[in-house]
Amino acid sequence: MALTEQPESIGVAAGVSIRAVGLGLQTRRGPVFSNIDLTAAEGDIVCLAGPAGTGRTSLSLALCARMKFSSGELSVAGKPLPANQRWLRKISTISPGSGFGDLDDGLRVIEEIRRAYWMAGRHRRSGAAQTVAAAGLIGRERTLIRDLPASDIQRLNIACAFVDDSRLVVISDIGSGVRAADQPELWELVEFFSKATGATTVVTSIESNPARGVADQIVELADDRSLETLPGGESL
Amino acid sequence: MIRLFGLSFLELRRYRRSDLGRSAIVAVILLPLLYGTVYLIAFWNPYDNLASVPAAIVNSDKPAKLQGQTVQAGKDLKDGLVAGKSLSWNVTTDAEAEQGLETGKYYYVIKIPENFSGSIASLGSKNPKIAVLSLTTNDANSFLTSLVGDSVASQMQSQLGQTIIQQFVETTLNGISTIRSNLETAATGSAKLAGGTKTLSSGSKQVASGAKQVASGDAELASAADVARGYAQDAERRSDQLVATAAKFARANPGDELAADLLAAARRVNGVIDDVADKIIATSRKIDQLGAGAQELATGARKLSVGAAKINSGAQQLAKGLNSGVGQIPNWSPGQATNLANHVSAPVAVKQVTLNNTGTYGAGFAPYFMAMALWVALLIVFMLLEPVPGRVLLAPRMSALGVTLVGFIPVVIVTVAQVVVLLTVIHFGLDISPPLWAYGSLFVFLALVAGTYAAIIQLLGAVFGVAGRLVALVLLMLQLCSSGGTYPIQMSPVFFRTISPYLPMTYAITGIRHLLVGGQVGPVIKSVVVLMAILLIALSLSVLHVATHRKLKVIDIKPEISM
Repeated sequence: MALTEQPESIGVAAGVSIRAVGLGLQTRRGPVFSNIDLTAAEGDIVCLAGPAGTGRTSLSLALCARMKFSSGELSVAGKPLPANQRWLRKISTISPGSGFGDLDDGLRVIEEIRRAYWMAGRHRRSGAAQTVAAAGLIGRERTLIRDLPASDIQRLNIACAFVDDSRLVVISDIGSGVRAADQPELWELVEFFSKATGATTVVTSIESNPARGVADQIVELADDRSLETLPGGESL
Repeated sequence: MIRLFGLSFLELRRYRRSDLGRSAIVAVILLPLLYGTVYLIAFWNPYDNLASVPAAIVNSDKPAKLQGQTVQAGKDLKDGLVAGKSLSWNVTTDAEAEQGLETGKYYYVIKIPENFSGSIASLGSKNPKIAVLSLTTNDANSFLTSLVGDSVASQMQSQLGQTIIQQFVETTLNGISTIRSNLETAATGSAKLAGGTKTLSSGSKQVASGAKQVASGDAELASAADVARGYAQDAERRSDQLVATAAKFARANPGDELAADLLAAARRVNGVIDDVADKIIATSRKIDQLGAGAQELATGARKLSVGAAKINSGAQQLAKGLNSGVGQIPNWSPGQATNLANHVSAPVAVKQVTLNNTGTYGAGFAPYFMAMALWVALLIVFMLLEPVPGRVLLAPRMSALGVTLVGFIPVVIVTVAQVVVLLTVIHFGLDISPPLWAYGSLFVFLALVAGTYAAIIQLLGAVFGVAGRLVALVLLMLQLCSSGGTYPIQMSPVFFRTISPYLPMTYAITGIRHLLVGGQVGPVIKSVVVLMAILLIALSLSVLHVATHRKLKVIDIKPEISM
């Protein structure tokens, strides 16, 4: 339904290529992620899949310079990091839902969208309507976030991530709280926006299956992490 | 029961497992110690540090004379106070002192009036005047100075009593007693003299009148002798005439025996009369001489009498004068002497004046509590709102300044509402009612204070994360002790005096105090300028921190402790 509508062109943002070799992050409390290899072309959709505690959120943040890494190499659009981190931060966006900067329970749908637009430095109302439509939330603009079902929250997360018109978009935990059966829809939405804007999209997820057919790259994170235990048996 | 204890221990044990958790528990345990010791150290004995509290002396005294000696009580008092260091005394002019008191440069002003020495010199007289000093404080500077002023005043009075007046008056009293007894002796002696000369005088008067009588009796005698001489001379003349006549008759009648007998008889009579007349004349001359001598005697006796009378009157005057002199010297009975001594031992009254009097203890402390309440309020606001909102921090198109302001402005909006509440409570709760226009400036100033606090606590939250609230709490304690809200800051130890000018609460209290009690504009403006500077610096530092910390740490997405 909403998917068939083309969003008003918000400017064609060229995507970025990503190249990571042996990327890792080690903290005092142990490794967060290690030995990650990834190659993505402009406009690709990348899936980082793994259960909770495997460092996929940290990895996705590292790929857009919101978290530092301690080993390996990373270059985005040919520019190496961490030298170009400021540049990378300016051209990349993270969706709400990572646990840091989530949608606010007390706000309404339309208010969160406006927030996204204001943070992007844009004031066009018509863009907001488009985004509402794209997220499939027409008629529910005044619904409070806390009253939205999980799938709608995820749709809104995705929609808000693309408001910035960034070249690299990170979607955090796409399937969080959503039944397996409803997840393909979310992936379609990601594909829709990614194609429309041309942005390279990195999506973290528990399951990799729903990503097949949509994602151009899939990185499984289960193996490395599950072999290690942290002191005290706590999860990260 | 064991279950409950077991569960309780587990509640605590989970904090042992992480560094931050352990630090948190330790910090929490030490918190009261921090507050208690800091506060106790700051106010352990404020009166020990009175010597650092700045004060002004204005000496308008004019020296006076007492018994030929110059009394400079004003200068002596001034020197004594400066050397005694009961406060940090500065000698100034009247205008300088008043200006200093209004702006808070001086906490106390003592004025020594013109007639100070004069009043002290009047102590030994019949109308002793008490010398009145004035001690002025200003509640716009600090409320407790007027209370502390009591002890300052009594210190001064005892200083005066001990070092200057007591000795002085003792000497004077002793000297006066000596003089009096000497005078008494003189008076007694002169009384005797007066008695003697009186006798002399009356005696010489009698002599004089006696001599006069002699002289006058003699004068009578002399005049009688004159008369006799006159008769004698007359008789001589007549007898001479008789002889001459007889001679003539005899010549006319020569041979006349009768005529010759007559002539002879006449001659014989004439001779006798001549003898008698001579004798009479000689006697009258002697009587004259006697009269002259008696006259001299009378004159001399009269002079003697006059002189003696003069001496007598002089002696009488002397005696009278001495008596009246003795009478003028106060003769204190023991009761009177004690009374005078009490009078004299507190010859100086200190009149205490409080500018911008706030009246009650509560009103005097209102600025302190208001400034403190705002800090606590801001602390709590930052428990609800994020110092650095996460979503905007991550947003690509948001500048560091934008992120900082999105964290700052909502807090300011909330605190404006808090300030309105505070002002309402002040208005209805306190007995000081500033004029209506003052509420406007008070509102603006409090908003500025709140904004400054917000900027600081935001910075602490940005830099220290969750622990920033703890740092803010520590800062609260330090400021409570170093902002001069209770005692003047000079009465606290050096550490607190040193940090005082760098902490916002110092300026918040100064400004609120002057605005509430209607003090001077100068200190308010100074506070405004400093607070704005602190605000801008804190905000700038926050922006700087945000600009360099737009990345997350693992801890940010999986926090170990939450406060």
